[in-house]
Amino acid sequence: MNDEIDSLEAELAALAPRDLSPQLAGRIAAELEQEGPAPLRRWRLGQVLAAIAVGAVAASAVAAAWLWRNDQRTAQADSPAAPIALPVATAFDPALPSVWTFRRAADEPAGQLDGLLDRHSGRTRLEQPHYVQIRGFGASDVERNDLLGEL
Amino acid sequence: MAEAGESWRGWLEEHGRALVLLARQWVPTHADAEDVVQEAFVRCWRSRDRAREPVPYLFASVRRCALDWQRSRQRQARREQAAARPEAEPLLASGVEQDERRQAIEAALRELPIEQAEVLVMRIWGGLSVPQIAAALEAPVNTVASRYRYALARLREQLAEESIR
Repeated sequence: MNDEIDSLEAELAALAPRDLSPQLAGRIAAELEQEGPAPLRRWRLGQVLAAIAVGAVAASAVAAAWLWRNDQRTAQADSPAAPIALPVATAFDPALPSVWTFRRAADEPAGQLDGLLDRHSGRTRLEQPHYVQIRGFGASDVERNDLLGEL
Repeated sequence: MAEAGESWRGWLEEHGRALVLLARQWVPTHADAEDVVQEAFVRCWRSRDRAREPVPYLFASVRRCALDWQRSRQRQARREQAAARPEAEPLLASGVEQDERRQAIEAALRELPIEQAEVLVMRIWGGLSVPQIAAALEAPVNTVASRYRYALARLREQLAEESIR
């Protein structure tokens, strides 16, 4: 741009546009006050509502997924086709110290009962060493007879 | 509009006259131009936080509203009436001693193609930089710079012819 054009720019700039009418500011004020600063807030409120809506949808999706998963589990548990894990019957295992085992051993000679008690106490001693071994009967039938004779 | 502060009145004070002048490029009367500015201004003020560059956004909004106004068929009759007396309302303010020159400049300004006139108004009276005008018009910077140069050259030619007469 040469000097001539620069001078023209200066001349143009010296001519100000016409003044605004005094009513314009009042009209704008009235229009802005009519809805207040709401538009901006409305926009922000819209954002907040959108976020809440998205959150609600996400929460619903999570809840639905959780319920669906629970339903699946319940259906599996209720299903007759599902294998039922039956407990292993251990009540009649002579290796275990059950009532049945001791009742059977009581019908046997006393040595066997003592042996059974020793076996189980020994097992207990190995598994739980703070337990003390207790003998219920004498070591032999002779000792037992002596004891019964005294009574 | 952070750079204009939170007071819309200050913003209107700073840009209002240039905005009305810009609207006048499409709108025949000052009152109509103020209507356009009012509508664009209120819209812009309400959405000012969304604007990356508030001032070009404001000028662009006024331009858009003025174009809408021009396209509106409801205002067709008024526009034609006003167009019948284009010199009825001055565009620019000046002292009495400059009145003849002002009229010559206004006449030259009215003769400019709208693409050049709008760039000239935004640059000279709106105080926008060429990149800001480019942002407002969504046009390349080089195009805006060319339009500005052509506008000044054309004005200069017309004013020279006027002075010869």
